[in-house]
Amino acid sequence: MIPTDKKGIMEDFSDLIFMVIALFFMFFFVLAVFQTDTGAKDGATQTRLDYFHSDQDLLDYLNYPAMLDGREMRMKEILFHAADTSDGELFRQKTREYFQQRGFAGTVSVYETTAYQSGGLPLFSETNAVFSSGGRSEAILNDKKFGSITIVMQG
Amino acid sequence: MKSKKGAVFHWIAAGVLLAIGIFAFFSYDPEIGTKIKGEWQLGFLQDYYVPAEEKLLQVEQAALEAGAETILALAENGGFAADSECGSSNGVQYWNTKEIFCFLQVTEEINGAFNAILIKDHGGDEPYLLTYQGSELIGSAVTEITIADGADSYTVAPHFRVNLNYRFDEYFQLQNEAAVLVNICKWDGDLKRCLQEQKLEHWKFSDCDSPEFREDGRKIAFCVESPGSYSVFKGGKELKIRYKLGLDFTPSPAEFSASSY
Repeated sequence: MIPTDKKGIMEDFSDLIFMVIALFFMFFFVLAVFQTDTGAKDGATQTRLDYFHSDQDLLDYLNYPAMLDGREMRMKEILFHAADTSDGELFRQKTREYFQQRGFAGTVSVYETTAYQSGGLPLFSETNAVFSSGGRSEAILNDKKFGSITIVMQG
Repeated sequence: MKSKKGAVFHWIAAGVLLAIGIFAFFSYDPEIGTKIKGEWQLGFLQDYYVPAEEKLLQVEQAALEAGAETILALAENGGFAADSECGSSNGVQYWNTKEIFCFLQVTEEINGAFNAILIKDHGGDEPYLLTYQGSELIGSAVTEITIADGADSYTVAPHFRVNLNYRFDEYFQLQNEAAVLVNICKWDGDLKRCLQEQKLEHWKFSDCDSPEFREDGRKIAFCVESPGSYSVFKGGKELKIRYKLGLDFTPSPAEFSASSY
């Protein structure tokens, strides 16, 4: 059916143009809202991603190979050895080595788990950063003789 | 609307709006706006992967400790997880009788000792199938660890491969040395002199700190220092590996009669 009434056609065209303009503004508004929403949610994703990277850094630190008296060890063994012998210098030396090798900036603290849970002081702590802005991760390791230690890493 | 012919555009517009409405109705999502990217994936990593990796770390730490204790326990017991088939005397396991040598099945002994220590002292609940390669102890888990929360779950096999900085192959070297010593000295009437002359430097009588020749018939207890000078750290202390074992230098009648001809 082809319309032939010119007045009717003009009315319909003006309705159409009005609708297009209205839709354009509506689309613009919705897009602006979605854009803002996306930005905020990207931020949330980034924060969670930072937490995950922080967890990965901690796992990497605990598995970092280190030599002690010619013996090949992992950092987790060094931590228990340092705790067993109250050798803070050994912890600091190996942790600094890790910071340097991995280009890591942050703080590592080792607590007895009971002390950590009651807000006590760490057994050892080493930092190479004035301010820490990254994620914070912690892991608990157990040793038959020494007991349980909590390792806290702040990137 | 006066123009019936022009009304077609209104119907088209109404149709389009209706179509959008139907589409919106069936694809309705109460969460307006974009979703957080990777929310499920990051949640999975945080709630399942990271705890599982921490669990594996703990398994490795327990394996290191149990491994060190296994080395010491086996060395203290002549390499045997239980008792030697060649018998024992005063807590010393003998490596031979006058007839036979009770050669160690090293891997079996490691399996026996390690699993007993892991389960008894380190809260292990499942035995491992163990092998060794160089200075590394390799444990294959029999059962898997599942981290589950609601509908999701993550399963890992808690295998491990830890460096003990010690080679169980030392037992083969010591067995060879023991066999040579027995073959040389069992016919010698002056056993003490023969052993003093023939035994290697790291073989000591009775006790490594204060060696003393003690003869029980022709059975001699030895303390053998690790030829590779291995040691383990336990509780912050470095403990040297010292093997306690006994050798029987009684000549076998069969060999004696054979050599008499």
